[in-house]
Amino acid sequence: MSDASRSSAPRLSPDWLATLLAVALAGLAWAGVLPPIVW
Amino acid sequence: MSDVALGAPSRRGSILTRGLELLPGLALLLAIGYAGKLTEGAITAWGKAHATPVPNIEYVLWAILYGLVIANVFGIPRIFRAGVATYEFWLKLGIVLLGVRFLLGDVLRLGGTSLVLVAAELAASMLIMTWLGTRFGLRPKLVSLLAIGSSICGVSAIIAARGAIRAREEDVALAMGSILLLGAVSLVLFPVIGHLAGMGDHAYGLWVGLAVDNTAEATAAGAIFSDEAARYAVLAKTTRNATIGFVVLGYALYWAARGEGERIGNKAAFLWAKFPKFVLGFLAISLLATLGAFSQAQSANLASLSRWAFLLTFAGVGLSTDLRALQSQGWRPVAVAVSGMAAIAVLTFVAVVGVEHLGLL
Repeated sequence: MSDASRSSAPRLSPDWLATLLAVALAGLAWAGVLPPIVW
Repeated sequence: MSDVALGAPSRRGSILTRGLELLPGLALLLAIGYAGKLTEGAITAWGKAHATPVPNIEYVLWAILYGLVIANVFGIPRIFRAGVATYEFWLKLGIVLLGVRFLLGDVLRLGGTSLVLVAAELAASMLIMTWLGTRFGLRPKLVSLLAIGSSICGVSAIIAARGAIRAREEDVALAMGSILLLGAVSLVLFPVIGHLAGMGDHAYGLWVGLAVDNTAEATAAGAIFSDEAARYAVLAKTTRNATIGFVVLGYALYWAARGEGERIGNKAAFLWAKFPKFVLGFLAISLLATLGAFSQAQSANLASLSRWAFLLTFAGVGLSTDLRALQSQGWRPVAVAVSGMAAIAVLTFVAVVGVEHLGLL
């Protein structure tokens, strides 16, 4: 695979990554498997 | 807010290698943020033990201060840099998770109030910056960058506009330096003014969200005042961030018409490309909370996670503020930025106080 074709692979932006991680954490909380987080 | 890629490693590597590269910096963010939290707790405990009233200085300020001292006195060794650069990611994660503490109705109501004020702020910022920049004889594209940075979202708006208006790297650095310099100053000035003016949490948060240009600094300036103020600062700032595409598109079209900017083909695609996607995450979590998807304990858990994400962010703000680089800015762009943003801060202060008196907050 050439460099050009490899670099054209879609890359998740920090915006999307933060959104997906937050939604995943919310899903874990909803499912009741997120351990208690103490502040 | 800058679009710093997560870690942005210089060479390709496996996900594991990238993760390992981030670890030292992440540990440093956590250590500094937690040291700030411990300091706040220690001062409060000392005050109680000695029955002495001590001012409640939020951990936010300590975390930023510790970061500033470490970065500017000792410097940050290379091994920590990739992890420290993730602080913008934690900011976005914190904002999305904060959606759990907003019902969608509140978001729409306050977002609506914010949006009206944001529209006024955008127009005022662009007019003031353009007028001042022209009076001080700044290069036209530097004026555009300062207007974009001060009207919307600080550094990330400047980065978004950089390519679209084909700005010089020197102008980009000057505009970003000015915005960051004022962001650092605002962390100290805004809470003091807010307390002196006897502002409530909502009004103060809205004011900070409108007047402080970088999202990390706006969130921090809100959190230094109170937790509730930080919520409103984030909401107002996020509303402002959502307009980024429209303003950058406007400037891109302006410069393209003069043959000095990127040619815009599909405007909808351009707007989508510039839209901060984490705003959608914030709305999604807020919608789930509104629909009653989370119990009280689950909401509290997610809100605590949001706080931990912000803790990492604030440590990163301090570590990423290079005072020497800020000092080296030319005086004229800084003079334009300082006077322009002071004018914007006064205007938005008057607007927010007016809105509060009308009972719209």
